Amino acid sequence: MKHQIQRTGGYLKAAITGAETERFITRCAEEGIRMWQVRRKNETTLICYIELTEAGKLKKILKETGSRMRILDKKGVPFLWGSIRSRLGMVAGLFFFLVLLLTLSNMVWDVEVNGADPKLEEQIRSLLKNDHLYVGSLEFFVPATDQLESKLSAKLINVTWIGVSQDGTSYRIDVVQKKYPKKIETAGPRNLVAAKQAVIHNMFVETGQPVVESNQFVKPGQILVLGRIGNENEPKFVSANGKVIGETWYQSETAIPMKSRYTLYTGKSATQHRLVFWGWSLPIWGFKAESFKNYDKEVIRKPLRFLIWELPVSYEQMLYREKQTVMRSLKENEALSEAKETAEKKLLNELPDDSEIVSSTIEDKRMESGKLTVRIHYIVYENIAIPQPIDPAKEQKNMKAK
Amino acid sequence: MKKWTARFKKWFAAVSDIPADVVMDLPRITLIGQFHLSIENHKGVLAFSKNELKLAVQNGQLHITGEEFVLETILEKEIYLEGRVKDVRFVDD
Repeated sequence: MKHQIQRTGGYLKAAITGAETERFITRCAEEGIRMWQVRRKNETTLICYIELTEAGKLKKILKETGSRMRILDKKGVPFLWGSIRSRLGMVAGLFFFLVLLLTLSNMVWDVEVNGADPKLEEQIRSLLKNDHLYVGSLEFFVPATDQLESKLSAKLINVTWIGVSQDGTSYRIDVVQKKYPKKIETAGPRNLVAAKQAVIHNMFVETGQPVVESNQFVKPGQILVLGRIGNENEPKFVSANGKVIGETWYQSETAIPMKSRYTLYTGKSATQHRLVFWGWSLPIWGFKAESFKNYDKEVIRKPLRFLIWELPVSYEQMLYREKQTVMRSLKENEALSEAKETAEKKLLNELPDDSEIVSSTIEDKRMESGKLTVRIHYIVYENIAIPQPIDPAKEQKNMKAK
Repeated sequence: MKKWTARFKKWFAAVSDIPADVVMDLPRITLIGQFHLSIENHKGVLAFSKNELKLAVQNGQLHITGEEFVLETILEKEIYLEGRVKDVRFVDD
């Protein structure tokens, strides 16, 4: 057994026949041809294992000692290789089978989308297909789940939350769709009252009886459009509807730092592909990643699977993105215009949709520890009307009391 | 002259700590129980059969008899024999 393990080359089991087989043994030992497990079969024959060497050397010794050799068996790697070659079809089949099994083990078998209506599901699936995630795709090319998540949620507007999880060869996408609340029409009788202090600019009243005029100053809560029409004896109550555009005033204070640091991606990136064997990683493609001075690194690791097992071999993709720190220093007028812009944006965000900034005046600006602080006064036209329900029974009672 | 060399070698082996088989080119025979025999410094196989092994050694022959002999390994200077060793005998030329 020991000898069989030691032999990496080929060896023969042979029968040596001749009158001087002992001399054959001695000559072989002298020539450095290894022999082992030599047995005497009969007077003229020895059975032995003999190392495979150049045929000429062996032939010479045989001739010298007047012996003949009959090969009984051929063993070792060279012979095994030969027999493999003769059964090439079968070996290729086996290899193909293993490759197929390995491929199928690393395939995406199922993509499940939960919580989306058919239209959204179709949209999600087509987006995923662009990212190589579909039934039958190879897992190595599928981005990491959190990347998929952020990509999907960036592209889908009517989705509140999206979660991507992976369980072996199947992916699961959980979606929470946005549900817009239906506009509740207060069909009941109501007045329109002022939401804030303003000077009325103009009014578009569809139903109801306007009780204020243009250029009138109104206080918050003051009735603008009355939901009661008709004469005092026979009042009718309606749902007042309309727009009252008022002129309102706002003051904002914005601080803009004169110097700021930004970290920007330069747009240069390099991808390195690696194979990891037992924690030892070997780059197989892309070697120039180290040329970046500052970079962010993103690592995607995909283990290789075989049936239900994870092999200790995995594929790793490293994405290096070059980044750059930029100092930005503003001149005073630049800082001022930026302050104006941000302040306006902030204000419009807080106001109803169809509001309009009519004028802005810079009231004060001062430099303080590298920051420009600007105070701006705004005049805005906006809809100040908000509905206020009225109770007709109560109203009538009040009138009678009068 | 040859005799003188042999005598010197014997003396050298005696005064130094170097084993005699190294100095004097003598066979070293190691027998483990009855079943494993190794012979170093042999000069060639003279006869081999199931029950007998004859080796040429310095100044003579070594006859080993027993049963079920198998030559486990044969190197230029060494032989490993397996089987049941019954008798190890030196025979002068």
